[in-house]
Amino acid sequence: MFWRDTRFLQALAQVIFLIMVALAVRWLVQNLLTSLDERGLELSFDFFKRTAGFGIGEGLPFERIDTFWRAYVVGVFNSIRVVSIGLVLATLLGILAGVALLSHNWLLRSIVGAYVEVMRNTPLLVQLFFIYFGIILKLPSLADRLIVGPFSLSNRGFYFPRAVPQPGFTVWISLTLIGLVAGIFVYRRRLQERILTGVETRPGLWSALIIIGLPLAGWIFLPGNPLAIEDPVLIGLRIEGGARLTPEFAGILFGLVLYTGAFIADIVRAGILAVPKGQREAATASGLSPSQVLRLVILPQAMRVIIPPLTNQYLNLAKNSSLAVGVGFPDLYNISSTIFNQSGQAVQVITLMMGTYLLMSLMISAVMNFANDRLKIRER
Amino acid sequence: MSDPVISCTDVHKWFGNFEALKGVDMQVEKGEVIVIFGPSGSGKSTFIRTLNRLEEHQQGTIIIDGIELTHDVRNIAAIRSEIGMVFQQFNLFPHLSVLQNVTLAPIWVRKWPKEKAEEVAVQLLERVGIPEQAQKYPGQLSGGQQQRVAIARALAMQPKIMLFDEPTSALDPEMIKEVLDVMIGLAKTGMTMLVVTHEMGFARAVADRMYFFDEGLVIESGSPDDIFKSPQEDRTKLFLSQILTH
Amino acid sequence: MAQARPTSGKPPVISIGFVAWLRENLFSSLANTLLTLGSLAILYFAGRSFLTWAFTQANWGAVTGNLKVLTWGRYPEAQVWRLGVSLLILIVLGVITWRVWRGEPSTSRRIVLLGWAISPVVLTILIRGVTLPTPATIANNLGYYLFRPDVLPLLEQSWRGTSAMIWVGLLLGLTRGMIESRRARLAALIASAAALLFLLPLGLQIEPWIFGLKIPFLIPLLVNLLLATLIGQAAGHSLANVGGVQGALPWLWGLSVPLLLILLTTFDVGVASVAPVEALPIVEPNIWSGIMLTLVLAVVSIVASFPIGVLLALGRRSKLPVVRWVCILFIEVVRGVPLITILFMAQVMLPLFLPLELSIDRVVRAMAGMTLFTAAYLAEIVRGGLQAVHQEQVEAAHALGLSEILVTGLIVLPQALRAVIPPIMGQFVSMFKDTSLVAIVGLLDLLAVGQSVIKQREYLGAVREIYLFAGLFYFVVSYAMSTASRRLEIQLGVVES
Repeated sequence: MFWRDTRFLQALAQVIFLIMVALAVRWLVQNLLTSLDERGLELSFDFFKRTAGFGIGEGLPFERIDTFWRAYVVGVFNSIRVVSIGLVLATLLGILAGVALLSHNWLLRSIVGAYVEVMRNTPLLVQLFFIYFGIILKLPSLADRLIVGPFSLSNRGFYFPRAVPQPGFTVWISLTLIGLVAGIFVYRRRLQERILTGVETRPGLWSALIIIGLPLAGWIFLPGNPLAIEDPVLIGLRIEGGARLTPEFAGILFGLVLYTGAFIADIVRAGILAVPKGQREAATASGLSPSQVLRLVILPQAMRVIIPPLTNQYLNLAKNSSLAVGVGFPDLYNISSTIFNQSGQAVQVITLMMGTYLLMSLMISAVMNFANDRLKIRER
Repeated sequence: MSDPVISCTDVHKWFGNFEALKGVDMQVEKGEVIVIFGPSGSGKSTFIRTLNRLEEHQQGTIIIDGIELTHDVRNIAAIRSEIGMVFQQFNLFPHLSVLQNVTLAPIWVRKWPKEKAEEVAVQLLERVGIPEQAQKYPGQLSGGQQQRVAIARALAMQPKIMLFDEPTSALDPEMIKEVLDVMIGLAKTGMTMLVVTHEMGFARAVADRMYFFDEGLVIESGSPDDIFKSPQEDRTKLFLSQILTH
Repeated sequence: MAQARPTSGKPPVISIGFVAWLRENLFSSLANTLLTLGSLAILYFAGRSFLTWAFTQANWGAVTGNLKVLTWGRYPEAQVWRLGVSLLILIVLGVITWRVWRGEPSTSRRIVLLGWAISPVVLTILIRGVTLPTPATIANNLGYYLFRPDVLPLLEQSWRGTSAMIWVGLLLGLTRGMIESRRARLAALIASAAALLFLLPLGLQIEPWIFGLKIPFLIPLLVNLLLATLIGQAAGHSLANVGGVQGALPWLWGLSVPLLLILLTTFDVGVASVAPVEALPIVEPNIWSGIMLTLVLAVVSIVASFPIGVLLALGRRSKLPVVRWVCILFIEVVRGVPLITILFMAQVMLPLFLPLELSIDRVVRAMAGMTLFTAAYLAEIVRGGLQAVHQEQVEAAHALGLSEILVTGLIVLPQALRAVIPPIMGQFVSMFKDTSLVAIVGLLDLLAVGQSVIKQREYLGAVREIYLFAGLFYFVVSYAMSTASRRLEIQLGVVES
């Protein structure tokens, strides 16, 4: 009676499932090959070496005669730019807003609360359109731009002076980095000393001296200046020189930061509230100052509650960066879809694009998981 | 003498490399009340859970009411329908009312019409002493009441054998008696019962035989008189001295 | 000994009442007071500039003049009443479901399930329209099917034949699993044989199947029949006692006759005089636009993603490694990429994976993309709920003799789903907002229609007005859904305790 044996039945169920999946996959693949044949396409990545034939507004230097592959790389670079800066800014905004949500001041709480509710209940794309088309593009034109010193704001972007590395820059920057590392070392050693011996060794003061002193000394004593300032100058109808924050970049960045910041605010608030009230009471009773209580007792415990949902929001930000296409910012998705339009090679383009986003997600998750593990409360 | 209704021969069970049951033999006649006791980790719960296949034994034979317990799904299903089980943590279904808890299995497994199932359920609830709680939810009942519902739920399937896995260990002291009373009443109706418990008063009252488990084996077995008055093995004496004097 | 001075018995005025509230909340310390003043200043300036703009410079005509196109886009105005009726049906369905959920008698539960089961068909017919065959059509098509099957495109016929066999197989299996009477089972067997006979014209065609081997289509048909029967039988065993399903079986068998006829003989062939007639004028999905499209996308995705998500969650916890890994792969990939890439993939790649004859509307592709996306997220949420159900519950159910399917359906799922209703509702709200992304892949939802309004000469600069309107619409609906979900939470809490 083997057909009633539990182990046989389990194996049979798996086999049936496998057959169904295999049949479905076979049918799909067959259709795919037929369709590709029909359109004269083939499944290889060679076409990436062809000439792009389109231009890209910002990121890395790119000409129309460059390859599709180079275009893709520029897209990835732009996405990384947006996501990395966006994560930092959104976290800062989120922390500030989260703390504000817990403030004693009703007015502050309500205003920030209203901001959070609006952000959470409207789609990001609508917000992006409003910010980009409704605010940024409505800024004065280049001729009527707002000028403050070398800075200018118009609907063509925000221009500001750029630091240009001169000969001697490498030496100076190495000096600065050495200073940074040495400063950190000194800080930790002196902090240890103070904890062990009880003598005030001023770790903060000494490390600050080193971190600031070395680059300063380098600037003064090395021949020439390591950096030169280049101001943006209006020549004819365009601005030459300097650096520019494009309307597109500003649009997607502000949109992402405002949107994600609201969600992070809520997470921070919940995290701080999750720390039992008794902790604050015990810490205050021990004589710690309010800022010490926050820094040494509340925040470390709040972090444990905050990190998992925060990871989620970081992943969302990275994925939402793909909406840059709505404001015309040449990110990974935007450029991929242009490559598709030019080449018709759907399968390869989509695979590459999705693979890149998956990689990005994995990396963010990995970093956050590492942070989460280090913060885990050890239980019996 | 008819065939024993439960017949276990050389039953072994491993959890990975750990041998929880090292060759257990037991024969139970119809209508017998068996009390199984012993230190924690001795394999008592594991043993009775192998009888209705909540745990799978890897070696040895288990025959329940003439059906051998193997991998055959039909055998397993048949055996499960003859055995009722009451758990330490009651395990009532919180999203169903008391009445629905009791009628669930008869309706879906025995395929009884709803009216018949509910009739039987109400009778059983009367038998365990809480007919008025039928429409309440488990969360609204005390521990003792929940356990009595659990007993009614198991009885609703009209089993030939009832297994009890430390039924009173999770109860507050004042509720232990009400549950034990129900169990004693059940024993007096001639139900075959295997009870894992530390309640020696219950054993003295209704047990036909007692089995002492330690480290996966039956160390000693006998009638309550034998066990309490003249235990043979040292380990039995030691355990009894620990639980009887406190 | 001095007596204690009697007090007035009431706390000082400045510690209670509105004044006290002001003191504590707004002016309790210097920093607080500064914050309050600063916030008031910001509110004043921001409010003043916004209100000035709103009342003097804004061109609200962009919104008011275009309300119709924003709401139902290019849907023919004479047919808009159908949209109203559909919305009404949805609302009624929602209200009945709410009332049943609160614990009214279980007979209405059956009506609700029936309602949800047939609503997709009814709503599709209402919104899209339907063509019904005339007797001439039926005769014509039947003739072609029976006597000239070689004329019909084989690829299209193969999915029809397969679906027909799967339907018959499931019914046969269900009957064998549920009903004991030999007469009924014999009748079912005869009916299946009759169906098989009807499929003979199809079955006798030769088609390359595996590895280019040419075999009559009959063989794959029989394989499908067998698989479907097995599955139906397993389901039938478990469902045997669900109230009313046994009674439904004869109806389902009866339904098979027109169903098979429709499946196998509705194709476009022959002359215009035998063409089907438009009972309700057809409005193709690629014409659907505006708020109407947004709502259709959201509702379809929500309803369709739920069962798929639950199945994925169950599959992810399965003990069978093959099932588990396939589910994990799907869930993790879909959750790791942006929605826009899934929509892009649906628009661009989906047609490549389908047979050349089968073309799917762009709107349907978007629905598929959104459904799969939401299903993956739902799966993770439901998985959390499943983990929250104690293993002992499962053991107790097993000890009572319940089969695996019954344990999952009666004990595990009800508890799991109840536990995660808030996150599920949150996901639905999220998905509603995410429908705005279809504007990027070329569908004409509210946002895209808004963009086209802005491009018109007379409303050229009315960017903020339009997007504020869109934002307001999304805000109102999202907020309403979130509030409803919070109410639901409280309701459930009451029932459970």
